[in-house]
Amino acid sequence: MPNAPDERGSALERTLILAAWFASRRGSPTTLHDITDNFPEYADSDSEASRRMLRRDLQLIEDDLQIEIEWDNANSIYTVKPPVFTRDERASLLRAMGTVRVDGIAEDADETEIGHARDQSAAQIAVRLPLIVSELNAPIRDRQMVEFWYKKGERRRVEPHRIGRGGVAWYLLARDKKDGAIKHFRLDRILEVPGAPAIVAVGELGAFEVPDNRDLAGEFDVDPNEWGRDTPLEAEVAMSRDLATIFCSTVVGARISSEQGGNAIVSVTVRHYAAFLNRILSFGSNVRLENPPELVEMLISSLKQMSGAK
Amino acid sequence: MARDSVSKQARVVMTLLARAEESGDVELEAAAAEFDVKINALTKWVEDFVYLERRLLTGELFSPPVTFVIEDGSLIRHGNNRSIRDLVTKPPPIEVAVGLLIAATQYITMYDDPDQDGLHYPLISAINILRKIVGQEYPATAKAPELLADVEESIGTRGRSRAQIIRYMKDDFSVSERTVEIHQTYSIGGYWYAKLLDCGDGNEKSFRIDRILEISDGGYYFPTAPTGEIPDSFDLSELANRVTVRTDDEALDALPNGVEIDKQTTLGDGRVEVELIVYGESRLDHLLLAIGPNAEVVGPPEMIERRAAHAASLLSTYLT
Repeated sequence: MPNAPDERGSALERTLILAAWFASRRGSPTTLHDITDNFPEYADSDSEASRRMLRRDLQLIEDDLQIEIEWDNANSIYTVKPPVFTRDERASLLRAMGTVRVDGIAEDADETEIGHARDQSAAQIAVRLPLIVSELNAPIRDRQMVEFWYKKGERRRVEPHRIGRGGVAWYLLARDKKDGAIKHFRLDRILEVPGAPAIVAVGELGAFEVPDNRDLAGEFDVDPNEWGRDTPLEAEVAMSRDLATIFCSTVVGARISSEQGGNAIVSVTVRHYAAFLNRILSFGSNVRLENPPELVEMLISSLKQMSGAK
Repeated sequence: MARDSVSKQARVVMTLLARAEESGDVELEAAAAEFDVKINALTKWVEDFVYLERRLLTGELFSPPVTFVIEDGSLIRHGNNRSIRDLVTKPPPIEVAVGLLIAATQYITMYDDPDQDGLHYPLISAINILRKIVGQEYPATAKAPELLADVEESIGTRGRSRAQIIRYMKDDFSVSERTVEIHQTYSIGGYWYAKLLDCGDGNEKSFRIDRILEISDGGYYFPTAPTGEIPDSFDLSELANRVTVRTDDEALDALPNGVEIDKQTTLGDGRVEVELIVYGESRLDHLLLAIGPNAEVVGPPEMIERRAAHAASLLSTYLT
């Protein structure tokens, strides 16, 4: 075990050296005797001033250097906890923060927090979190139920599991206590309550278990063509070959089934009729739904109503 | 002036070390003014740390090379070696941890080649630690479009980039071929964009990369443009259209992307009246039909007429 350096000046320097000395002994129990052997300024163990100085320095190390040294009263030893991140882990996080700017959370965090003294002007990706995420973080971590007003005024009590983005909307994945089903709640449909938090945590901590779900990549892909429960229908849509490229990249399951010249027929299994017809409408007169007749008829009927035609 | 507490000294030193590690050199004179400390005092505090590190070089406590030095009045990071931050045992606050986790997850989704990257596995390890702190996993939010790599390949890192010819589909679905000089790529709101010079009209623009149909070599080099800070959002206010609609509440869940709900009033008949904002003409046309036949457009009058005309136009293609 190395000895502490002999030369110590200011209180700050003494504290830094004490912190570094403790860190070098990580994994080894440290007695008061070990400390006084290496740090003469704490040596007078009978002196209240000496003991107070040690306590104060350890508290400063914890509060300002974020290094926790714990006293085990039963065994009369100090132990230093392991670091949160290794140097490489911290470096990897700093690199990520240089590329990805996360807005809407921890924007007033202390500069000493990882990534918060970083110049992010060269970031390539910006992710903006809805403000309400801040109210959900602790209940999700603590497995505590929450209540909120949803949509036009329904009070919901849910087990909050995860937050994520599907498409451009943010969702809370949660179990609805009303019917026990796991649902996606759009965060922008949770109502604000003037002068009060929108999210109210209720009940005990650790009140529920979150089902293990490894399909994280798809969990928030809330494409109606995946979760729709309508009887599946095979649809064919005519469009330009160029548009087919865009269409297939945005509609889950869509594929080019034939092409001729600059035109293509795109096929897709439809599981949510209304959402599919909505998408067809989004392409205006640039696409034409060819099949199946049931969906074409629904589309025509809808257009007739909206145009005022009989 | 009263002597600054050791606690303040430690906080200031830790802040300056964080800046030196993350953002580059720290000018001590400017820092002294910022923290309202005399330059001599601040320099002494920082020296306590820096010279401590140097003394530790003797092997008394540590052996790795020194990380920070003071030179010409600046605190300078020297290499990417150890720091007192390596010793931190307290986990970050949950808000900070959420931000770190999102950034790390997004990063590793985009750049996931462990053979090219010595920090790949440390990042996975850091993500696992953050997931425990946060109590959940955040999926990545910005998926890379198919042509992102091709677009980025044209941007040179040694001072010159290669012009490209792209076939691009605009919002109104028209396709054009353009020669462009791509300056940078970036992602906001889940979409990826290429910031570029459109050589056809000489204007700088941002194109959605998922709307680029093809990209090919443009035949000449140009000086690589400096990268700029990515915007928080696009100012689309000039393109804003407002429309008031009465509909059932569930229909609001199916509103097209990019439509904003401005005002919402609950009606007595189980419906809601909402004022919607939509940007651009083609998106407006889509919205007017996407709300479905059971939704009623109640204003302004030109929107009622526009909806009927657009529906009639589409209907005609099915009745011929």
